[in-house]
Amino acid sequence: MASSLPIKAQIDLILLSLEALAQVGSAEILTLAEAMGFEAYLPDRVGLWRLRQSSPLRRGRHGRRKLDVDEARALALICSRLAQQHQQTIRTAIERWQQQTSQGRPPHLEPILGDYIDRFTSLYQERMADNSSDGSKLAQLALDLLVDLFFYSTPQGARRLWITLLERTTPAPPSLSLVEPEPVPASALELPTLFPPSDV
Amino acid sequence: MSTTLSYSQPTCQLDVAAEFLPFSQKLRRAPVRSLHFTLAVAEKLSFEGNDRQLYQLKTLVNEYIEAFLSHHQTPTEVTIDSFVLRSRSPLEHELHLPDGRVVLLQLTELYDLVTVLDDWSAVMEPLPELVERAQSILAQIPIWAKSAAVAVGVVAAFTLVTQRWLMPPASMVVTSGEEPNLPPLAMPSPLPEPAETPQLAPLPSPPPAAPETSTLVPLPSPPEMPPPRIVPAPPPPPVAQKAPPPQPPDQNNVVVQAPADGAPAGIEPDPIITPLAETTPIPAITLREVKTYFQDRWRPPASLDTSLEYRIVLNPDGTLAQALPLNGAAVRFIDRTPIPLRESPLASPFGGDRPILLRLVLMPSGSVQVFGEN
Repeated sequence: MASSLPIKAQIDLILLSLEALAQVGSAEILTLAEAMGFEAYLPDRVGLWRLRQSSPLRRGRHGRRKLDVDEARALALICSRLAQQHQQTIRTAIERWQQQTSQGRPPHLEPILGDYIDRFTSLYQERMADNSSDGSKLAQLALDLLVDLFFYSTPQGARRLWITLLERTTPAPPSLSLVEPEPVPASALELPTLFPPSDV
Repeated sequence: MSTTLSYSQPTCQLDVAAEFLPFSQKLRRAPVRSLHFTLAVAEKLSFEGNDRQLYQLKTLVNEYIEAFLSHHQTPTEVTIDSFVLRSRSPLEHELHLPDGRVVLLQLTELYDLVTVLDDWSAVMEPLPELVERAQSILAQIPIWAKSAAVAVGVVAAFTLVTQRWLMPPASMVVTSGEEPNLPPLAMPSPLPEPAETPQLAPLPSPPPAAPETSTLVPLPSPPEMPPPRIVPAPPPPPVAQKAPPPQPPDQNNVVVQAPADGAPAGIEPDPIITPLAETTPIPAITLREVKTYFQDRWRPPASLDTSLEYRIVLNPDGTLAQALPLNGAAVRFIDRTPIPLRESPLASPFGGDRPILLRLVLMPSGSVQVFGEN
């Protein structure tokens, strides 16, 4: 997982991995958001698209949209609930990965994992600004996200996800950084404001 | 009162002997202290310990997962007291136990360990809430009611004292009116031998702690920590894992065992419990089936912010005999739960001739806990 990423980029990657692994689409996300009472943050497909487009990793010029703390929390809760709902799929993929490793075989040769990695790679390259990443790094990112999803599907997964999101916004020691976030104009940070920055 | 709570996952089984506060069932809350635990992971680890070690293990696993998820670095290593977790790769994690054993956990085994510890800590967590609630209940009592209660108490004490002083003369008047010259004792002189006294012994012993708020605070099990960072490890546990006490052979299949020291009869006034006073072994498979049933169906309402607790009475043929809400939220949300109608099948038949009692906890996070209850 790319370290030291803004929360909006991390959440977008988690949803991308769920989409690649369990075909979680926007309809499922919106239904869940409504069931959880978050329709104010995710009213429709356009709202969801705008939130996801706020990731600085995304193509296009939408990455500057602010994501406030409540929106981030709602998305984090939705992500962990989705992981819990697809826990069996995630577990099966992990078990296959363990089997492959115990046999000394690379994970992508196993059909479930191979399909997941392929889908993740193609979705990533289709949507992210940095589409020049080589396949092995994207495969590693997909597998890292799979491990993350597994732990987000635990009973305290929402808490773990939230802590992880916060931790990863701070730079780690040696990093696995796959993609760099878009540089934020320095002037934007120096603007005087009455309110503390809510952009996460 | 002590009960064994069991948490199982495909590769992991945690059994915790937990102690309930005598009034915790009145308040519909969970156990507040774990006494002893047995943990089995796949066939590679069997470990026993006390509540402090279980708490250390939970802290270790939580902090390790946080550290591991934060930056995906290998090796990630976290030490809590003499427990250590270290990653070899994303799929392999070394668990070092205080007795020097090192167990290599696969990722799925680590996941199952995390899950059973999460489930256990979810049951243990309500402690601060319990204290708060008890305090708020006290605070809600109006001052005039408290004053009235004190006044009534004083009057009662006064009456008692006066009666104590007045009664002996009254009885003396009665006896003295009869035959003043008779010998004072009409009883047969040989008193019954103490051989009869053991028949009195099985009376339920009084609850170990007085139901006062102040007794809650100094409990040894600390509540769930705030999310980040390492807390200072508690001092070394008083009980090491030297020679584990011999376990009864059927313990693995028994989810709830008889309270070791006899349950006080007055704690649960529920009439259903009375015919079930004897220990009924609850098959682990039944427990799993019921848990799966609810896990597949439980969709927490968005407005739910507390756990729903129900007592489930299961007929020997696996059908639902009764579901009793155990807290206020459980009453309000009962029509939003997947609890089926009476006589609907919840598990496969488990035999025997008497129903079993289960405790069902539906959490706002969407997770489900089921454990046996006596």
